[in-house]
Amino acid sequence: MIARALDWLTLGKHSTYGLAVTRMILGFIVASQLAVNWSDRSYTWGDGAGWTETVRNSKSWPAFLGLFKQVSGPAFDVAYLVTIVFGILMMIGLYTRASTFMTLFLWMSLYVANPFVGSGGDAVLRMVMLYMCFVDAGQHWSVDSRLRGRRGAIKPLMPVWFSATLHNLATILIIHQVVMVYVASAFWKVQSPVWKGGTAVYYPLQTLAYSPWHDWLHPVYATGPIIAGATYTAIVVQLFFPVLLIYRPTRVVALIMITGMHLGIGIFMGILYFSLVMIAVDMILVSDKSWIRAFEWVNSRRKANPVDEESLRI
Amino acid sequence: MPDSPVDEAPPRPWQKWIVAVLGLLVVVHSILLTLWLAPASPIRDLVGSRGLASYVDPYFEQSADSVDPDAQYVDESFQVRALVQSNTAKPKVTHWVDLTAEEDHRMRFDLDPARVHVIARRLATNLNGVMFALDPQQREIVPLSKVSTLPSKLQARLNAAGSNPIAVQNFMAYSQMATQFASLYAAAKWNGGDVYQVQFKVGRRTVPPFAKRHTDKLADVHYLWFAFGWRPAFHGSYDARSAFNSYVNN
Repeated sequence: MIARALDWLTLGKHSTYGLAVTRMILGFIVASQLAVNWSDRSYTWGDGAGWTETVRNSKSWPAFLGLFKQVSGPAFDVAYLVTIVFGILMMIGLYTRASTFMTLFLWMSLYVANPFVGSGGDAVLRMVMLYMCFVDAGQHWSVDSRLRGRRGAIKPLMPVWFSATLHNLATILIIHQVVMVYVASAFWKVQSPVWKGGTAVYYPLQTLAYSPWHDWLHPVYATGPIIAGATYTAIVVQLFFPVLLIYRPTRVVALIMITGMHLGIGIFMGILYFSLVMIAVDMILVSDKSWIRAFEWVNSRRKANPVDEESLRI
Repeated sequence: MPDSPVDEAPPRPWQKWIVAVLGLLVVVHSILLTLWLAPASPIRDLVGSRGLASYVDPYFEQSADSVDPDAQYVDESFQVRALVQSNTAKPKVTHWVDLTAEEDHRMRFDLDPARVHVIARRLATNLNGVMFALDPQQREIVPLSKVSTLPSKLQARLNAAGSNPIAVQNFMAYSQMATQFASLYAAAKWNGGDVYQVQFKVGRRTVPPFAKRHTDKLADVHYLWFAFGWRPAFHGSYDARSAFNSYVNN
């Protein structure tokens, strides 16, 4: 068994397609988040965020993450734009590992400038991005892979067995991270009377912080079976998520349900950023075979409908 | 079979040892993160919260609040007013401005709101948190503080009224932060005059029970308010004031 585990770790890189999808979505999230916050950048993280100093300094973040705290005015804007550029480079997979590392470094430097506006999504993002620095996320669906196809592979910097080990262990850590969030969340839920009573989902939807639709959807929120269904589904899917991952048919069900849950949270509670981060990480759990099949299906559809392909080009 | 096979011979014994050590590190790291996020249990107690915190803090820290469902059953409010002098007129106390309501208005129908729109609510959550952490006798002291009350004096009074120095220290930190924020906000909001003093208050109200969803509305529930005494206005740098001006008056 130990020999099999060692072979699994050292003889090849796993989940390379899923990691490519995760890389693309995470790069998009970083770039789009910064674009969304562009107009308020100084107030949120720049000169206007100095009032948070008392509390932000209580955390012992390493000094090398102090970039955004030390620059202001045009220099801050340049650093902000460079972060967006690296997010895009990560998304398209150009110099993938370096751009992932730089995106992480710059994103974290920005986060440290005002942790007060951070969210649960940031915690997951920073951990997954750290692990992403050790994986080969640019092996597929990236500019790097296209360049490799044209000019051929470059001699690797480190032995293949070591590179594969780092890749696979980091992949395990990413999967562990996402599974842990679900299971820990479920453990907290089952200790709470409102979750056990099947009404928990109702409460945040009533608060102004989590109701971007205000009273528009109140008739839906006030419907007992809908609230109970959403509450119990959340508990069951999260609690049994690791078990459901073991068997392929149940894994498909689990991924569809958890993605639906995140989309529901994002759309109805107005926290799409957090939801997208979780969906991005969940994509690693889709097997490479499934990604290849999906890719081939899309390709075959495009070939079968040349007119559609033409219209897409236009 | 690997998803992405590599043309390489199986690793040698010394390489296997390196893989084993790396694997062990991953296992230990995973266990520590799991214990950090998990609810209280004998295993977690065995390791100890302080030991876990020293490992996860700050990079691997994940707030239990993000997975704790009880954190989202309340609605909160953060309001600010100021003593402002316009031109040669006598200084006047402004009306209360509900910053959380302004944020809610800006976030309406926005599924991916800018982060700036959570600031007032975060302040309200933290200030409510530090107020509830104080003893009832200490809470009575807070609104009595005046412009002339030095922070060190207020801290000494709070410490004398209870035996929770860490809670008092947290209160002082968040109170100072809120004073700076309220001052910069007030200067931008009432930018026609000089802001001399600021005051803020935070409120919290709980969503009515699900069983009463057809009769009781959250909007009808009164806030439990915590008022803070008047404080001298903080002026901040020119760049900070410009950043606030740009947001508040946009």
